[in-house]
Parts: sequence; structure tokens; C-alpha cells
Amino acid sequence: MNDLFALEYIINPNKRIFWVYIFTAIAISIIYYYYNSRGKRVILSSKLWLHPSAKLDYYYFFISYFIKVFMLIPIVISAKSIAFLVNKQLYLQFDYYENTYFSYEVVILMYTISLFIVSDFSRYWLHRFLHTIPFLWEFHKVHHSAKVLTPITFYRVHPIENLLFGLRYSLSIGLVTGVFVYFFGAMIDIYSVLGVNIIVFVFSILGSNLRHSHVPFSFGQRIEKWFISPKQHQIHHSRNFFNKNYGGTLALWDRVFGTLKLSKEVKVLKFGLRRNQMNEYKSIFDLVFKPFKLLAVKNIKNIKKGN
Amino acid sequence: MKKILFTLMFLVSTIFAQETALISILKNISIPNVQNTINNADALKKDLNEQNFKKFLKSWKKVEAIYFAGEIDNDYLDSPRYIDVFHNLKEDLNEQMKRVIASKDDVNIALFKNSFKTINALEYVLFNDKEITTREKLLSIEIIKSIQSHLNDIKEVYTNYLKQKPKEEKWENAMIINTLVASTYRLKEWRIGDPSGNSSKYKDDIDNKRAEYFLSKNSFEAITSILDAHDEIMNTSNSYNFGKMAIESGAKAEVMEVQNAIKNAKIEVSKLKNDDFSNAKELYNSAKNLHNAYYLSLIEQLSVTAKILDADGD
Repeated sequence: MNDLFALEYIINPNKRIFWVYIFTAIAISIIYYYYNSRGKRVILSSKLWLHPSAKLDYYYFFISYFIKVFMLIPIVISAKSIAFLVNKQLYLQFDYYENTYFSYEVVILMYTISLFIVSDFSRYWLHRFLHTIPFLWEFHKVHHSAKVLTPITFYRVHPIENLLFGLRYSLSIGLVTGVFVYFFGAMIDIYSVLGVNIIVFVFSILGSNLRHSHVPFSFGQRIEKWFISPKQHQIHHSRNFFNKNYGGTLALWDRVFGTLKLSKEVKVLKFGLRRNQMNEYKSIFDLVFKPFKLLAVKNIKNIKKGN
Repeated sequence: MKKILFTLMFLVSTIFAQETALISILKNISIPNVQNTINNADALKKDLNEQNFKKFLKSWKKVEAIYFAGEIDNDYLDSPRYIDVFHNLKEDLNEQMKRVIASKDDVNIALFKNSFKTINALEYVLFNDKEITTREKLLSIEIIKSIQSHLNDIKEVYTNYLKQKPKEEKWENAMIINTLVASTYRLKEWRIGDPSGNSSKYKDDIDNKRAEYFLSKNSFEAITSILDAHDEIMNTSNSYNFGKMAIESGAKAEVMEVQNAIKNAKIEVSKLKNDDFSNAKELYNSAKNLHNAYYLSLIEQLSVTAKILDADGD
């Protein structure tokens, strides 16, 4: 039951707000403001951290946690089940395969990288679909309704979106794992730090918590073509650029599929939805039920139009 | 019904054990098996007869069935192929050994290829006809010496592993299960399926000449030995081994399934005589059950590997 406690997120290296990642985000911010004093007042202002939107994020974080634990996790198929199905199907279709070529170390390296890439790729597309498919956008709007960004905004996600990301996780991780088990048997593992994929760990300590913040930390033009910087994700949260920078860690997908926006191309950031829409997301009740209401209203309108 | 083996096998599970399953297996099973094979090789060198060859062959099969040295030290990945080339050689070894025997070259020169110094080559030299000539004796002794040298290497790898700081237990267990899976696949497909016409390669095409030890008629003996090796690793009445470790990890039912599959395969092989594979369908099925029991368990170790930060959005 200890694990079923929202504050466990702070001590769990698999969570975005693990204390080490928060600590490195603060350290990066200090260094950043040492060289760029502009915006320093905002980040230290109680108006930011106690803004109604930020407060709503804090409350919603706890509520959504219980929704996830008691309503979503029980229904999301596990990555293990998917892996088992994939592996079994490969085994039944192509019979047993024995790896005699790759060493244990190489297999670990390939598995670590494959998990990361497939996961990041599927994350990009699901995120893009959440914006481009009108039905899904109603749910993803909840995340974009944050007027100010704090690391906790990461968890301002509608349960339906949580469900989709849970499925994405199971399918992508399960697929990669099932294929690797088929080819390499029990000798699969990942290079990890504190039990986290080492690649993910490195990006997490490099300011992942600044993605939802007002610290416009950029990696510089060259690196941003490959990896999404905190500033690039802030650009994605800016009203005029919702359709840019869908990427999680790699900017490669945005580049390949034409949705990349570099930091230097955007000067002013305006977070949140349009003013009239913002009024629709002012309470926890709104965050959970408004998307359903809006979808229902839309449907009724469409039906009427059809008539 | 396909069952999943060893539910918690890959979790750290040896709270009550003094040593890991691999350490215990190396000490109590692998090293004694290698030593036994070296001793049997000595006996065969002294007296090149059918019984001594059978003993030597049976002990070697137990070493080969659960061969870990290549994973422990990559330099020894190919050692089994220096001893045994069954299913790993495209050329006709018997034809080549015929020429080696007929040749007037010095024994060392005549046995210039690795495959000429294997147990398969030895079998031809000893069993190509009823008589063992002086030259065949000299060749046999040289082959056995070469095999013994590789066996000593294997023993050294195992002994050194016991002296060194062991690797992660998770790695050890993964290696054991991969070895068991691969071993049962070869047993099912190569050693039983190919001669009996049950393998995908030779469907309904029975040919006893494809059997592992067709010349000396020791193929069923070899199969029994391989099953014995699996029994040593999984039978819970023996010293601390993989079966016991799995049971401690909460996989009693699954271990029993493996044990039953081994038992059934032994019963099936005992029913067959004279190295005749024409009625080996049931033996093939029982070996398949054993392979499946091991293979389908692999998935259980996934929970520890796939963690990606938060399954939420961004």
C-alpha cells in the first residue's frame, strides 16, 4: 500500500518529479538566471506558484492519482501481457530462434536503445493525434488549459488521455520486449540508473521538469534539431504553436514529420487556451467532466445540423 | 495449456540460500560431470572398447547439455564444437575420416582439422568396421587427448568462476534458462525430430542415419544422458539447483511441470530400442513439451526491464 501514495512520486526515480530531477532542474535554473536575469522575478513570484491555475494543478495531481490507481491501472493491459503475446506468436509462427551472434552486453545496449526510441516515437504520434483528432483534442485541451506552467502541470492530464498513454506504453514496450525475448531469450536487460533506462535518466536530470516551467532554457539551435529542450516544449504550450514540437525527448520526429519549432524562432510565449475557453477549466470537476460535456454538445449540434 | 514457468525466478530469491543456483550447479553438477568425462576419456584411452566409448559419450552429453563456459567466458564459446560437431558440419565427416585412416601421414598431421578431433570423428574411427587397427588406435588416442584438453579448459572456466566475484544473480539465472531452452530445442529438433521425421526440416521423412550416434548405436543413450542432465538441474531431491531456487521463488507448479516432462521423455526413450526412430513420435512430443515448459517461462522476467519514465502524457 506504500506505493499507493501520491507523494511516492517524489522518491520514485521512474516519475518525472523524482527529487533528483527536481533538484537538477533547480540547479539548471540557478545557472540559467545567473547569466539571464530576464524573467527571474516571475519564477520567484508567489503569483506564479500560487496562481489559481497552479493551485488547480496541485489539487488535481492528487485526485488524478487516485483515478489512475483505482480506475485506470486495473483496466490497462500490461506491457508484460503484450510482450507475452508477441513472443508467443513469434515462437508459434517461426519456431524457436537461438541467438549465437550477439553478446549479452550488445543485447542490453540494443534493448535499451530500442525501448527508448520506440517509446519516444509512439509518444510523438499519440501526442500529435491528441491535437489533430478533434475527439481526442477535447481531452488533451485539459492539459493545455494551464495558464501557468509548473512541473506539476505534467500531471494535468485527463483520465482518458492517461488511459491512452497507458495503452501506448503497454503496446510499445510490450512489442519491443516480446521481439527481444524471441530473439535473445532471457538475456535481456537494460542499462539503467536507479532502475530507470539510462537514456531516460540522463534526459530527466537535464531539466525535464523545466519543460513545464517559465524558465526558457534552450539547448541551442544545433542540439534542438535532435533533442527537445524545455523552451521548445514551452513553445508547444504557447497558444500559437500547439501544432509544433510534439516530441517527448527526440526532436527528430518533429523534424521528419514537419512540426519542429526552434527556440530562437519564438520570442513571446502565451500559455493556456483562448480566453473564452479558459473559463471552462477552472475546477477539478471541469477538468474531469467538461470534455464529455463539450463532446456531447458538439454531437447534439451535429445531429441538429444533419436534420 | 501453456503454463508460464518460474513466476518470480528473476527476482532476488536466495535469501535462505548460501549460494546462487549457478554456483551450486557448477560445484555439484558441472565440475563433477566434466571430471567424470575426463576420467572416462582416460579409461577409453587405455581400453578402446564399446562400453568405454558409451560411458565416455554419455558423460560428455551431460556436460554438453548444460554448457555454461561459453557464456561465462566468451573465449570458450566454441569449445563444444571442438569436441562435438553433430549438426554443425556441412561436410561428410565419415568420408573424410576414411581418408585420414587410409593416409600414411603422421597422426598429428593427418588430424589437421578441428572436426577430425571430435567425438564424431572418434566414433567413425572406432565403429567404421568391427576391427580397430593399430593406426585407428593411434588416431583414437590422439583424438581423445584433444578432447581431454578442451574438457580441462571447461573445468578451469568453471573452477575460476567459483573463485571470482560472481556476476549478478539475474544474469546467472537468465543464462541458465537460455541454456536449458537451447538444449531442449536441439534435443527435440536435431536429435529426435530429424531422424524420426518429426522436425520441420524432415517432415515425415524418417532416416535413422540422421541420428546422432548412428554408427555406434548410442543415440538413445545420448538422449537419456541429456535428460539426466536436465534432471540434475531441476530435480528437487538433488543438491541446491535451479529447480529448488525456482520453488523458493514461488514456482512450484511450474517446476513440477518441467519435472514431469523430463520424466515422461525418459519413459518414452526407454520404450525405444536399437536406435530405431521410426516410432519416436511420442518421444518427440515429450521433448517438445519440455522445451515449451522452459521457453514460455522467459517472459516472466520482463517486469524488471522495461521501465520508461511515467506512462503519462506531455
